[in-house]
Amino acid sequence: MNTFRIGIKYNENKDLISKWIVISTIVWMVLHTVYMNVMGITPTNRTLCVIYDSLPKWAFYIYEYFFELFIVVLLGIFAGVLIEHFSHKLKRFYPKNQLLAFIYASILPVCSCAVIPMVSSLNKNVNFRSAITFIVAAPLLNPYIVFLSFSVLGIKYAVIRIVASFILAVTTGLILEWIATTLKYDIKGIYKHSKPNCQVVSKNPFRKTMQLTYKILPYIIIAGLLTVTFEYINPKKYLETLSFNLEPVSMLLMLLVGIPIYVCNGTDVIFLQPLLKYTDLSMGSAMMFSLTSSVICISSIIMLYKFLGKKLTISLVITITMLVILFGITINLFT
Amino acid sequence: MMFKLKYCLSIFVLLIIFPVFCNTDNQVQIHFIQGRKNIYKTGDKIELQVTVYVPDEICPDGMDKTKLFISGIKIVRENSWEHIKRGVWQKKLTLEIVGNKKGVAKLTVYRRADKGSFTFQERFNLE
Repeated sequence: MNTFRIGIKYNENKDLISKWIVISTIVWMVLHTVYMNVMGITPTNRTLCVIYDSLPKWAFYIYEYFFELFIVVLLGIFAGVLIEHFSHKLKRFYPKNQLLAFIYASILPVCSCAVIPMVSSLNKNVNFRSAITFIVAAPLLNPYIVFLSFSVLGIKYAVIRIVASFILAVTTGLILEWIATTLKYDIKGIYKHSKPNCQVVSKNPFRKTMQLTYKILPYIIIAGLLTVTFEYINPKKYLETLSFNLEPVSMLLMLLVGIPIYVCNGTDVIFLQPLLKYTDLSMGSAMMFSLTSSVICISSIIMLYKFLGKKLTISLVITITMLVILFGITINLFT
Repeated sequence: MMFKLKYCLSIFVLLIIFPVFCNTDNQVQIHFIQGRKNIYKTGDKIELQVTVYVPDEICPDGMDKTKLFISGIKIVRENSWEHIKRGVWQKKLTLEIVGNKKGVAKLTVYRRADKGSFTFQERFNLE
Protein backbone atom coordinates (compact mmCIF):
# COMPACT_ATOMS: atom_id res chain seq x y z
CA MET A 1 0.00 0.00 0.00
CA ASN A 2 2.83 2.34 0.99
CA THR A 3 4.75 1.50 -2.18
CA PHE A 4 1.59 2.29 -4.19
CA ARG A 5 1.25 5.68 -2.43
CA ILE A 6 4.92 6.48 -2.98
CA GLY A 7 4.42 5.57 -6.64
CA ILE A 8 1.45 7.97 -6.95
CA LYS A 9 3.34 10.73 -5.13
CA TYR A 10 6.37 10.16 -7.41
CA ASN A 11 4.17 10.41 -10.49
CA GLU A 12 2.41 13.53 -9.18
CA ASN A 13 5.76 15.19 -8.56
CA LYS A 14 6.93 14.36 -12.07
CA ASP A 15 3.67 15.68 -13.54
CA LEU A 16 4.08 18.89 -11.56
CA ILE A 17 7.71 19.36 -12.63
CA SER A 18 6.79 18.70 -16.27
CA LYS A 19 3.91 21.19 -16.05
CA TRP A 20 6.24 23.78 -14.52
CA ILE A 21 8.88 23.30 -17.26
CA VAL A 22 6.36 23.48 -20.13
CA ILE A 23 4.60 26.55 -18.72
CA SER A 24 7.94 28.29 -18.03
CA THR A 25 8.96 27.56 -21.62
CA ILE A 26 5.74 29.09 -22.96
CA VAL A 27 6.19 32.17 -20.74
CA TRP A 28 9.83 32.47 -21.85
CA MET A 29 8.82 32.22 -25.52
CA VAL A 30 6.12 34.89 -25.12
CA LEU A 31 8.55 37.26 -23.35
CA HIS A 32 11.22 36.55 -25.98
CA THR A 33 8.80 37.31 -28.83
CA VAL A 34 7.54 40.51 -27.17
CA TYR A 35 11.14 41.67 -26.49
CA MET A 36 12.24 40.96 -30.08
CA ASN A 37 9.25 42.83 -31.52
CA VAL A 38 9.44 45.82 -29.20
CA MET A 39 13.19 46.25 -29.77
CA GLY A 40 12.87 45.55 -33.50
CA ILE A 41 15.34 42.67 -33.32
CA THR A 42 15.37 40.21 -36.20
CA PRO A 43 17.83 37.41 -37.01
CA THR A 44 19.71 39.88 -39.22
CA ASN A 45 20.41 42.36 -36.42
CA ARG A 46 20.61 39.99 -33.47
CA THR A 47 23.77 41.80 -32.33
CA LEU A 48 21.37 44.33 -30.78
CA CYS A 49 19.98 41.64 -28.47
CA VAL A 50 20.92 42.14 -24.82
CA ILE A 51 21.91 38.45 -24.52
CA TYR A 52 24.25 38.76 -27.53
CA ASP A 53 25.80 41.83 -25.94
CA SER A 54 26.31 40.33 -22.52
CA LEU A 55 27.62 36.88 -23.46
CA PRO A 56 30.81 35.76 -25.23
CA LYS A 57 30.17 34.67 -28.82
CA TRP A 58 30.48 30.93 -28.09
CA ALA A 59 28.08 31.19 -25.14
CA PHE A 60 25.55 33.03 -27.30
CA TYR A 61 25.77 30.27 -29.92
CA ILE A 62 25.16 27.65 -27.22
CA TYR A 63 22.15 29.67 -26.04
CA GLU A 64 20.83 30.14 -29.58
CA TYR A 65 21.44 26.72 -31.07
CA PHE A 66 20.91 24.45 -28.06
CA PHE A 67 18.66 26.27 -25.60
CA GLU A 68 16.47 28.03 -28.19
CA LEU A 69 16.30 24.92 -30.36
CA PHE A 70 15.30 22.86 -27.30
CA ILE A 71 12.54 25.35 -26.47
CA VAL A 72 11.25 25.50 -30.05
CA VAL A 73 11.17 21.69 -30.30
CA LEU A 74 9.56 21.34 -26.87
CA LEU A 75 6.80 23.77 -27.86
CA GLY A 76 6.36 21.96 -31.18
CA ILE A 77 5.98 18.66 -29.32
CA PHE A 78 3.57 20.27 -26.86
CA ALA A 79 1.47 21.52 -29.78
CA GLY A 80 1.55 18.00 -31.27
CA VAL A 81 0.53 16.46 -27.93
CA LEU A 82 -2.34 18.95 -27.57
CA ILE A 83 -3.53 18.22 -31.12
CA GLU A 84 -3.52 14.52 -30.27
CA HIS A 85 -5.07 15.04 -26.82
CA PHE A 86 -7.97 17.09 -28.15
CA SER A 87 -8.21 15.34 -31.50
CA HIS A 88 -11.91 14.49 -30.95
CA LYS A 89 -12.72 18.19 -30.39
CA LEU A 90 -10.40 19.49 -33.13
CA LYS A 91 -11.50 16.97 -35.75
CA ARG A 92 -13.49 19.46 -37.82
CA PHE A 93 -10.52 21.87 -37.96
CA TYR A 94 -8.04 19.37 -39.40
CA PRO A 95 -6.98 20.10 -42.99
CA LYS A 96 -8.97 17.65 -45.08
CA ASN A 97 -6.84 18.10 -48.18
CA GLN A 98 -3.48 19.45 -49.29
CA LEU A 99 -4.85 22.86 -50.24
CA LEU A 100 -6.20 23.40 -46.72
CA ALA A 101 -2.96 22.06 -45.22
CA PHE A 102 -1.04 24.60 -47.31
CA ILE A 103 -3.34 27.47 -46.27
CA TYR A 104 -3.12 26.55 -42.56
CA ALA A 105 0.68 26.26 -42.79
CA SER A 106 0.97 29.60 -44.59
CA ILE A 107 -0.77 31.38 -41.73
CA LEU A 108 1.24 29.84 -38.88
CA PRO A 109 4.50 31.69 -38.16
CA VAL A 110 6.55 28.63 -37.18
CA CYS A 111 9.97 27.34 -38.16
CA SER A 112 10.75 23.86 -39.50
CA CYS A 113 12.03 22.53 -36.15
CA ALA A 114 8.80 23.54 -34.40
CA VAL A 115 6.51 22.09 -37.04
CA ILE A 116 8.23 18.71 -37.47
CA PRO A 117 7.12 17.37 -34.04
CA MET A 118 3.51 17.91 -35.16
CA VAL A 119 3.87 15.53 -38.11
CA SER A 120 3.13 12.33 -36.18
CA SER A 121 0.04 13.68 -34.43
CA LEU A 122 -1.18 15.24 -37.69
CA ASN A 123 -0.55 11.99 -39.51
CA LYS A 124 -3.00 10.21 -37.22
CA ASN A 125 -5.80 12.58 -38.17
CA VAL A 126 -5.08 13.65 -41.74
CA ASN A 127 -3.64 11.79 -44.72
CA PHE A 128 0.14 11.55 -45.01
CA ARG A 129 0.39 13.84 -48.06
CA SER A 130 -1.45 16.63 -46.23
CA ALA A 131 0.82 16.21 -43.19
CA ILE A 132 3.91 16.53 -45.41
CA THR A 133 2.39 19.50 -47.27
CA PHE A 134 1.90 21.14 -43.88
CA ILE A 135 5.47 20.64 -42.67
CA VAL A 136 6.97 21.77 -45.99
CA ALA A 137 4.79 24.88 -46.34
CA ALA A 138 4.93 26.11 -42.71
CA PRO A 139 8.53 27.42 -42.70
CA LEU A 140 8.23 28.68 -46.30
CA LEU A 141 5.39 31.13 -45.88
CA ASN A 142 3.66 33.17 -43.24
CA PRO A 143 2.03 36.62 -43.44
CA TYR A 144 5.25 38.36 -42.36
CA ILE A 145 7.38 36.57 -45.00
CA VAL A 146 4.81 37.43 -47.69
CA PHE A 147 4.79 41.09 -46.63
CA LEU A 148 8.61 41.18 -46.48
CA SER A 149 8.90 39.56 -49.91
CA PHE A 150 6.55 42.12 -51.48
CA SER A 151 8.14 45.13 -49.79
CA VAL A 152 11.84 44.20 -50.04
CA LEU A 153 12.15 42.18 -53.25
CA GLY A 154 9.07 43.26 -55.15
CA ILE A 155 5.94 41.71 -56.55
CA LYS A 156 7.75 39.38 -59.00
CA TYR A 157 9.76 37.62 -56.30
CA ALA A 158 6.78 37.48 -53.92
CA VAL A 159 4.41 35.93 -56.47
CA ILE A 160 7.03 33.40 -57.60
CA ARG A 161 7.74 32.49 -53.97
CA ILE A 162 4.06 31.88 -53.16
CA VAL A 163 3.48 29.81 -56.31
CA ALA A 164 6.74 27.85 -55.91
CA SER A 165 5.99 27.18 -52.23
CA PHE A 166 2.56 25.82 -53.11
CA ILE A 167 3.86 23.55 -55.88
CA LEU A 168 6.79 22.39 -53.73
CA ALA A 169 4.62 21.58 -50.70
CA VAL A 170 1.88 19.79 -52.64
CA THR A 171 4.22 17.84 -54.95
CA THR A 172 6.49 16.77 -52.07
CA GLY A 173 3.42 15.53 -50.19
CA LEU A 174 2.24 13.48 -53.16
CA ILE A 175 5.68 12.03 -53.93
CA LEU A 176 6.40 11.15 -50.29
CA GLU A 177 3.02 9.44 -49.91
CA TRP A 178 3.64 7.51 -53.11
CA ILE A 179 7.08 6.43 -51.88
CA ALA A 180 5.74 5.47 -48.45
CA THR A 181 2.87 3.37 -49.83
CA THR A 182 4.67 1.84 -52.83
CA LEU A 183 7.76 0.82 -50.94
CA LYS A 184 5.74 0.09 -47.77
CA TYR A 185 7.88 2.31 -45.55
CA ASP A 186 6.80 2.45 -41.96
CA ILE A 187 5.96 6.00 -41.01
CA LYS A 188 7.72 6.13 -37.70
CA GLY A 189 7.01 8.63 -35.04
CA ILE A 190 7.91 9.19 -31.45
CA TYR A 191 4.22 9.23 -30.59
CA LYS A 192 3.94 5.61 -31.62
CA HIS A 193 4.39 3.01 -28.88
CA SER A 194 6.86 0.21 -29.49
CA LYS A 195 4.40 -2.45 -28.26
CA PRO A 196 0.63 -2.16 -28.72
CA ASN A 197 -0.27 -2.71 -25.06
CA CYS A 198 2.76 -1.09 -23.52
CA GLN A 199 1.84 2.30 -22.06
CA VAL A 200 5.27 3.92 -22.06
CA VAL A 201 4.07 7.47 -22.56
CA SER A 202 2.02 9.31 -19.94
CA LYS A 203 -1.50 10.58 -20.65
CA ASN A 204 -0.79 13.87 -18.90
CA PRO A 205 0.00 16.29 -21.78
CA PHE A 206 2.78 18.09 -19.87
CA ARG A 207 4.45 14.86 -18.77
CA LYS A 208 4.02 13.38 -22.23
CA THR A 209 5.66 16.48 -23.77
CA MET A 210 8.65 16.09 -21.47
CA GLN A 211 8.94 12.34 -22.10
CA LEU A 212 8.88 12.86 -25.88
CA THR A 213 11.31 15.77 -25.71
CA TYR A 214 13.65 13.63 -23.64
CA LYS A 215 13.45 10.94 -26.34
CA ILE A 216 14.69 13.30 -29.02
CA LEU A 217 17.19 15.16 -26.84
CA PRO A 218 20.22 13.44 -28.48
CA TYR A 219 18.94 14.62 -31.87
CA ILE A 220 18.59 18.19 -30.57
CA ILE A 221 22.20 18.07 -29.33
CA ILE A 222 23.52 16.70 -32.67
CA ALA A 223 21.45 19.28 -34.58
CA GLY A 224 22.75 22.06 -32.32
CA LEU A 225 26.38 20.97 -32.76
CA LEU A 226 26.10 20.89 -36.55
CA THR A 227 24.32 24.25 -36.68
CA VAL A 228 26.99 25.88 -34.50
CA THR A 229 29.65 24.47 -36.86
CA PHE A 230 27.84 26.02 -39.83
CA GLU A 231 27.51 29.30 -37.95
CA TYR A 232 31.29 29.39 -37.47
CA ILE A 233 31.96 28.49 -41.12
CA ASN A 234 29.28 31.02 -42.21
CA PRO A 235 28.90 29.91 -45.86
CA LYS A 236 26.63 32.91 -46.57
CA LYS A 237 29.67 35.20 -46.18
CA TYR A 238 31.37 33.50 -49.14
CA LEU A 239 28.27 33.82 -51.29
CA GLU A 240 28.31 37.59 -50.92
CA THR A 241 31.65 37.98 -52.65
CA LEU A 242 30.79 35.88 -55.70
CA SER A 243 30.12 37.15 -59.18
CA PHE A 244 27.24 34.75 -60.08
CA ASN A 245 27.92 35.25 -63.77
CA LEU A 246 28.05 31.49 -64.41
CA GLU A 247 24.46 30.37 -63.98
CA PRO A 248 24.91 26.60 -63.35
CA VAL A 249 27.67 27.28 -60.80
CA SER A 250 25.62 29.91 -59.04
CA MET A 251 22.59 27.58 -58.88
CA LEU A 252 24.70 24.77 -57.46
CA LEU A 253 26.26 27.05 -54.86
CA MET A 254 22.88 28.40 -53.77
CA LEU A 255 21.62 24.84 -53.40
CA LEU A 256 24.67 23.59 -51.50
CA VAL A 257 24.58 26.50 -49.09
CA GLY A 258 20.78 26.61 -48.84
CA ILE A 259 20.24 22.97 -47.83
CA PRO A 260 22.29 22.82 -44.60
CA ILE A 261 21.71 26.32 -43.25
CA TYR A 262 18.45 27.59 -41.83
CA VAL A 263 17.37 31.15 -42.29
CA CYS A 264 14.40 31.90 -40.15
CA ASN A 265 11.34 34.00 -40.77
CA GLY A 266 12.28 35.77 -43.99
CA THR A 267 15.97 36.37 -43.25
CA ASP A 268 16.68 34.93 -46.70
CA VAL A 269 14.77 37.86 -48.21
CA ILE A 270 16.99 40.38 -46.41
CA PHE A 271 20.11 38.40 -47.39
CA LEU A 272 19.08 38.20 -51.05
CA GLN A 273 18.10 41.85 -51.46
CA PRO A 274 21.61 43.29 -52.17
CA LEU A 275 22.59 40.17 -54.12
CA LEU A 276 19.64 40.51 -56.50
CA LYS A 277 20.11 44.26 -56.78
CA TYR A 278 23.89 44.59 -57.13
CA THR A 279 25.14 41.24 -58.50
CA ASP A 280 24.37 38.96 -61.45
CA LEU A 281 22.34 36.58 -59.27
CA SER A 282 19.33 35.35 -61.21
CA MET A 283 15.79 35.02 -59.88
CA GLY A 284 15.99 31.23 -60.30
CA SER A 285 19.11 30.90 -58.16
CA ALA A 286 17.69 33.30 -55.56
CA MET A 287 14.50 31.26 -55.35
CA MET A 288 16.52 28.06 -54.99
CA PHE A 289 18.26 29.59 -51.98
CA SER A 290 15.01 30.84 -50.44
CA LEU A 291 13.21 27.52 -50.81
CA THR A 292 15.99 25.21 -49.64
CA SER A 293 17.19 27.39 -46.76
CA SER A 294 13.64 27.78 -45.42
CA VAL A 295 12.25 24.27 -45.88
CA ILE A 296 15.16 22.16 -44.71
CA CYS A 297 18.30 22.67 -42.70
CA ILE A 298 20.73 20.41 -40.92
CA SER A 299 18.73 20.59 -37.65
CA SER A 300 15.41 19.80 -39.33
CA ILE A 301 16.94 16.89 -41.27
CA ILE A 302 18.15 15.40 -37.98
CA MET A 303 14.74 15.93 -36.38
CA LEU A 304 12.99 14.43 -39.41
CA TYR A 305 15.19 11.37 -39.07
CA LYS A 306 13.62 10.72 -35.68
CA PHE A 307 10.05 11.53 -36.72
CA LEU A 308 9.86 10.05 -40.24
CA GLY A 309 12.61 7.46 -40.20
CA LYS A 310 15.80 7.27 -42.25
CA LYS A 311 14.37 6.26 -45.64
CA LEU A 312 11.58 8.81 -45.72
CA THR A 313 13.88 11.59 -44.53
CA ILE A 314 16.35 10.82 -47.35
CA SER A 315 13.43 10.65 -49.81
CA LEU A 316 12.12 14.01 -48.58
CA VAL A 317 15.50 15.74 -48.91
CA ILE A 318 16.09 14.29 -52.41
CA THR A 319 12.54 15.18 -53.54
CA ILE A 320 12.88 18.77 -52.32
CA THR A 321 16.34 19.12 -53.90
CA MET A 322 15.14 17.81 -57.28
CA LEU A 323 12.02 19.96 -57.31
CA VAL A 324 13.98 23.07 -56.32
CA ILE A 325 16.50 22.48 -59.16
CA LEU A 326 13.57 22.14 -61.56
CA PHE A 327 12.05 25.39 -60.25
CA GLY A 328 15.37 27.23 -60.58
CA ILE A 329 15.79 26.20 -64.22
CA THR A 330 12.14 26.97 -65.07
CA ILE A 331 12.17 30.37 -63.36
CA ASN A 332 15.37 31.34 -65.21
CA LEU A 333 13.82 30.32 -68.50
CA PHE A 334 10.85 32.62 -68.04
CA THR A 335 12.34 35.62 -66.20
CA MET B 1 0.37 83.06 -42.11
CA MET B 2 3.37 82.81 -39.75
CA PHE B 3 2.67 79.11 -39.28
CA LYS B 4 2.65 78.54 -43.06
CA LEU B 5 5.94 80.40 -43.47
CA LYS B 6 7.59 78.28 -40.74
CA TYR B 7 6.19 75.16 -42.34
CA CYS B 8 7.53 76.09 -45.79
CA LEU B 9 10.92 77.05 -44.34
CA SER B 10 11.21 73.72 -42.50
CA ILE B 11 10.47 71.79 -45.68
CA PHE B 12 12.97 73.94 -47.61
CA VAL B 13 15.70 73.32 -45.00
CA LEU B 14 14.91 69.59 -44.98
CA LEU B 15 15.11 69.46 -48.76
CA ILE B 16 18.57 71.00 -48.64
CA ILE B 17 19.83 68.90 -45.72
CA PHE B 18 18.44 65.55 -46.87
CA PRO B 19 20.63 65.15 -50.01
CA VAL B 20 23.68 66.13 -47.94
CA PHE B 21 23.02 63.20 -45.59
CA CYS B 22 22.21 60.90 -48.47
CA ASN B 23 25.32 61.82 -50.39
CA THR B 24 27.58 58.78 -50.26
CA ASP B 25 30.30 60.44 -52.35
CA ASN B 26 31.76 61.76 -49.11
CA GLN B 27 31.71 58.34 -47.49
CA VAL B 28 33.32 56.25 -50.24
CA GLN B 29 36.20 57.16 -52.49
CA ILE B 30 37.66 54.94 -55.17
CA HIS B 31 41.16 55.48 -56.47
CA PHE B 32 42.23 53.69 -59.66
CA ILE B 33 45.88 52.78 -59.10
CA GLN B 34 46.68 52.39 -62.81
CA GLY B 35 44.20 54.93 -64.12
CA ARG B 36 40.64 54.49 -65.32
CA LYS B 37 39.59 53.36 -68.80
CA ASN B 38 36.40 54.40 -70.56
CA ILE B 39 35.74 50.93 -71.95
CA TYR B 40 36.84 47.60 -70.49
CA LYS B 41 37.04 44.23 -72.17
CA THR B 42 36.86 40.71 -70.73
CA GLY B 43 40.09 39.77 -68.96
CA ASP B 44 41.08 43.35 -68.11
CA LYS B 45 42.48 43.76 -64.63
CA ILE B 46 41.64 46.77 -62.48
CA GLU B 47 43.56 47.75 -59.37
CA LEU B 48 41.62 49.86 -56.93
CA GLN B 49 41.95 51.44 -53.54
CA VAL B 50 38.64 51.84 -51.77
CA THR B 51 38.49 54.35 -48.93
CA VAL B 52 35.46 54.53 -46.68
CA TYR B 53 34.63 57.14 -44.07
CA VAL B 54 32.63 55.78 -41.15
CA PRO B 55 31.94 56.96 -37.59
CA ASP B 56 35.12 57.10 -35.45
CA GLU B 57 34.12 54.32 -33.05
CA ILE B 58 33.86 51.56 -35.70
CA CYS B 59 36.20 48.65 -34.96
CA PRO B 60 37.45 45.88 -37.36
CA ASP B 61 34.43 43.71 -36.42
CA GLY B 62 32.10 46.59 -37.29
CA MET B 63 33.78 46.90 -40.69
CA ASP B 64 32.49 43.40 -41.53
CA LYS B 65 29.21 45.09 -42.28
CA THR B 66 30.83 46.97 -45.16
CA LYS B 67 30.46 44.60 -48.09
CA LEU B 68 31.49 44.56 -51.71
CA PHE B 69 29.05 43.26 -54.29
CA ILE B 70 30.18 42.60 -57.82
CA SER B 71 28.51 42.21 -61.18
CA GLY B 72 30.37 41.31 -64.38
CA ILE B 73 33.68 41.21 -62.52
CA LYS B 74 35.49 38.91 -60.15
CA ILE B 75 37.70 39.79 -57.24
CA VAL B 76 41.19 38.45 -57.92
CA ARG B 77 42.83 39.80 -54.79
CA GLU B 78 41.43 41.58 -51.79
CA ASN B 79 43.05 42.90 -48.62
CA SER B 80 41.19 43.19 -45.37
CA TRP B 81 40.06 46.64 -44.25
CA GLU B 82 43.01 48.65 -43.01
CA HIS B 83 42.51 51.33 -40.38
CA ILE B 84 44.21 54.47 -41.73
CA LYS B 85 43.10 56.96 -39.11
CA ARG B 86 40.06 57.66 -36.93
CA GLY B 87 36.98 56.91 -39.05
CA VAL B 88 38.94 56.14 -42.23
CA TRP B 89 39.35 52.60 -43.55
CA GLN B 90 41.02 51.42 -46.72
CA LYS B 91 41.08 48.28 -48.80
CA LYS B 92 43.08 47.37 -51.92
CA LEU B 93 41.39 45.30 -54.58
CA THR B 94 42.34 43.67 -57.85
CA LEU B 95 39.37 43.00 -60.10
CA GLU B 96 39.06 41.15 -63.37
CA ILE B 97 36.37 41.82 -65.93
CA VAL B 98 34.41 38.64 -66.69
CA GLY B 99 31.50 40.29 -68.51
CA ASN B 100 27.75 39.94 -68.25
CA LYS B 101 24.60 40.35 -70.36
CA LYS B 102 23.98 43.92 -69.19
CA GLY B 103 27.07 45.38 -70.87
CA VAL B 104 28.16 47.14 -67.71
CA ALA B 105 30.17 45.75 -64.82
CA LYS B 106 29.56 47.12 -61.34
CA LEU B 107 31.32 47.25 -58.00
CA THR B 108 29.00 48.18 -55.14
CA VAL B 109 30.32 49.22 -51.75
CA TYR B 110 27.45 48.51 -49.38
CA ARG B 111 27.07 49.11 -45.69
CA ARG B 112 23.98 48.57 -43.59
CA ALA B 113 24.56 49.26 -39.91
CA ASP B 114 23.22 51.45 -37.13
CA LYS B 115 26.46 53.38 -37.36
CA GLY B 116 26.81 54.70 -40.88
CA SER B 117 24.88 53.14 -43.77
CA PHE B 118 25.66 53.85 -47.41
CA THR B 119 25.64 52.38 -50.91
CA PHE B 120 28.19 53.46 -53.48
CA GLN B 121 28.47 52.09 -56.97
CA GLU B 122 31.31 52.23 -59.50
CA ARG B 123 30.36 51.24 -63.04
CA PHE B 124 32.68 49.93 -65.73
CA ASN B 125 31.45 50.12 -69.34
CA LEU B 126 32.09 46.93 -71.27
CA GLU B 127 32.80 46.70 -74.97
